[in-house]
Amino acid sequence: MAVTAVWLALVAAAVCWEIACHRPGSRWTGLADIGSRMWGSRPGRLLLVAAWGFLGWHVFARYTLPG
Amino acid sequence: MRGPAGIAAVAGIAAYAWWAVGLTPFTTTAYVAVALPVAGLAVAALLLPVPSRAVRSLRSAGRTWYRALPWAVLLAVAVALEAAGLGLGGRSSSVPTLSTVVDHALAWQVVRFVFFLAWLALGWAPVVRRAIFWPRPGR
Repeated sequence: MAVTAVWLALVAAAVCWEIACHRPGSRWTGLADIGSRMWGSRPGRLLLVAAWGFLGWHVFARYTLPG
Repeated sequence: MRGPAGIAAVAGIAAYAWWAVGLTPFTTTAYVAVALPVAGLAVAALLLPVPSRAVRSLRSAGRTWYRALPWAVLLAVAVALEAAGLGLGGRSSSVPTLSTVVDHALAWQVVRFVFFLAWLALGWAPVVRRAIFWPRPGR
């Protein structure tokens, strides 16, 4: 249960940090900025598509319901 | 994409998402349902023009690696937790992997539907944004 809370806290921290990175005057790089930079080159695009595809394949085609 | 065509497109995407998340996992149909939007995005990624080197240099001016350091820390913590969970067999209830945590939420089709739509939006955002903000000349 404690580790589940840590996972949820990590996700919440990532979301909050991404929002903070987009605030006016922020000097920190958000995930959207990293993604945009990678999208600017073909190898970067294909890497993004591959990572996105792997995420979808793992979550929606290979999930195991508990119990 | 506005008007009836836009509404039809959104309705079609929602119908596809609902169908896709209703499929039994680990089946060929489920794999194909995920593979189709991935293949479409791969084609779009290859066909869309890439910014010139000059434009890329301009866009990256002033960016340094340490400004992405917090993400590296978050990723390191996530990888360590995942490794610990996998080291315990991958199905431990005391140290679950991220998959195990997410699997509990995936028990409901409505939740899988919302996640699927969010996943589609995340992947196709660059293509849709380009279609909206960089229309073809003459329009």
